[in-house]
Amino acid sequence: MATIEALPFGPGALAVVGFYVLSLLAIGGYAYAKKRDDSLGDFYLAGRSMGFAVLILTLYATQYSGNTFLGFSGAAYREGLGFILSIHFMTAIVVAYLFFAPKLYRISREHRFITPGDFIYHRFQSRVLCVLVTLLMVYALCNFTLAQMKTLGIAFEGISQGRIPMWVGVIGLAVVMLIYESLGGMRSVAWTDTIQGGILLLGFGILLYLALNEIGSLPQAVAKLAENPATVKKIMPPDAQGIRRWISFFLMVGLGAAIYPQAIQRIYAARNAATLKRSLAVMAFLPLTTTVVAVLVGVLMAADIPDLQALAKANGAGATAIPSETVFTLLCLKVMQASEFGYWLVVLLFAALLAAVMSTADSALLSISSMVTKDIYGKYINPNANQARLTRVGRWVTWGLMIPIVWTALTYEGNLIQLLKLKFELLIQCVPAIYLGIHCKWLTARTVTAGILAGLAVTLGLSWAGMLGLSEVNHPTLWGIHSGMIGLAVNVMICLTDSFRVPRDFSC
Amino acid sequence: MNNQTGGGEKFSAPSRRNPEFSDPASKPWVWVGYALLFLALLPIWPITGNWWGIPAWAVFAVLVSALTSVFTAFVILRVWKDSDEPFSGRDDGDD
Repeated sequence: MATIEALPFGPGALAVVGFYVLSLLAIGGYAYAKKRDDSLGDFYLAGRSMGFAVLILTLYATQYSGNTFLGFSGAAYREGLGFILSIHFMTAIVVAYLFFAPKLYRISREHRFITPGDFIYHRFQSRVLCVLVTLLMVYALCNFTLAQMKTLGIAFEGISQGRIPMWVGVIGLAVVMLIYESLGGMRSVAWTDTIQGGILLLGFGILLYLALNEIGSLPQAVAKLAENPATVKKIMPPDAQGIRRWISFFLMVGLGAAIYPQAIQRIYAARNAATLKRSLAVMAFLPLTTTVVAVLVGVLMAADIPDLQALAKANGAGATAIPSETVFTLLCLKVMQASEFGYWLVVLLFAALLAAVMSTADSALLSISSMVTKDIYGKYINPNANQARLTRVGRWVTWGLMIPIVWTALTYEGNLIQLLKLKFELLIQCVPAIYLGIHCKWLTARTVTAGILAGLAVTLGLSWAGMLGLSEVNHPTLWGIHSGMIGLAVNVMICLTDSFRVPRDFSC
Repeated sequence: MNNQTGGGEKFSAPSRRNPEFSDPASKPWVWVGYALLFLALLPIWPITGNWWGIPAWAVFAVLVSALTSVFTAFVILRVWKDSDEPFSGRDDGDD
């Protein structure tokens, strides 16, 4: 079984990765030299001066992560063409921005927002609600960062070939991230994202070329899948339950990923509305160049190696290996063994994987730091702290948070798409506070808080129904619908009761 | 805090202050467009056989996704209007 550590990377590959890592530190140093002052706006939003090229690449690098390479291709291997769903939900994220970003951008400019919590407090004037939303977002981001660090460990295993222990690699790369992030804050993150986003785009191009060149065309793969009774369902459309799952996944990821704090902060950080608009317009097309490739790789590999599970058992896969999530690695192994040219293409591809992971993790980490510093420390622990003090605390928070995240990443065993699901279930309970909050004046803090708490209770009650003794088994999904979406439905219904209690101001 | 509006007296929609601001979320036809695209991308339509050797339902779903991207770019660039000038001031934070 070709787990990632089986890839034949040599010292040359390590040198390329070493050069890449050093370049990130150099960017951090340059960003530090370019800092204007010690304000939170400068540290966390790069002085609200992001231009088009930087904004589009940082949005891209942040949104598409290591999970897109490993998790999505693995899911497409398991589910076949049905995972075309991922193209839809990645597009849905951009559509979701449209329903709150135009107003949020303007309000953020007027009131100098730094975090999503700033908007929540400005809109609802409720500390309880602000803390609740902040905690949910911090939880989701910790989960998100954890998934990235886990992928970082897997990628590093492949590149180091076991010459350097995995934990040394993960901690080493985490320290590099922390250094450049501490030096330049969002400016460092955005500039490194620009390089990482460029490598990522190139990486998906290479991946597409490799997949079609090494395995064959999609029509050939479809014909092979159709011939095999064990795989024919991978080219069939989803059944009724599958369609409900499509809808649920589409809404959950679309609505949830758009309100990721790091995404919201990039809306705040745009130089002007025209820059933000152009960037989002381009983002609308990127699922077609990125997610499509990941799905294609999964489907092609499903036709080429239809029974990875059996192969894994026969070859004795590593304890942490999820067979379907090794399809990306298997493809790389095939290519590397084919030619010297293929070897270097895979080295570049792994640089892209590292870029994807690091760019997503550093953005999430910076957002967590900003929320803990601004919305918790600055409001409740030390309300008199000045901007320079808060910025300093933010740097320490970033370092402090990384320790438990790295530790958990090194010990967590489970599949990556599962990690993706867990965080959305809770994060989407913040949807009414932002989407309805920005448009509907009648919405009150008390109702939104009640809605979130009810949504959380329903979500956790279903997810842990078995453990709580409410049912024989846990219900992460019910009739194909995620428990988080059922919780959100309850949450929204509670919020809508406000529209009836304030009949004279019914409009949004 | 105003119990009726949850502090809404401090919150005002930007569109009321700036006539040059146009929010896509306030255009019903945008919602209708997305509702139709959403229905179209669901794999529920009786599309059978293969197109270019690939199951037609899958090709159709990807084409609808591409159409959604085009529609979204159109809405962003043509419907969303914002008159703000390029920001050039220093950021002093919001304390």
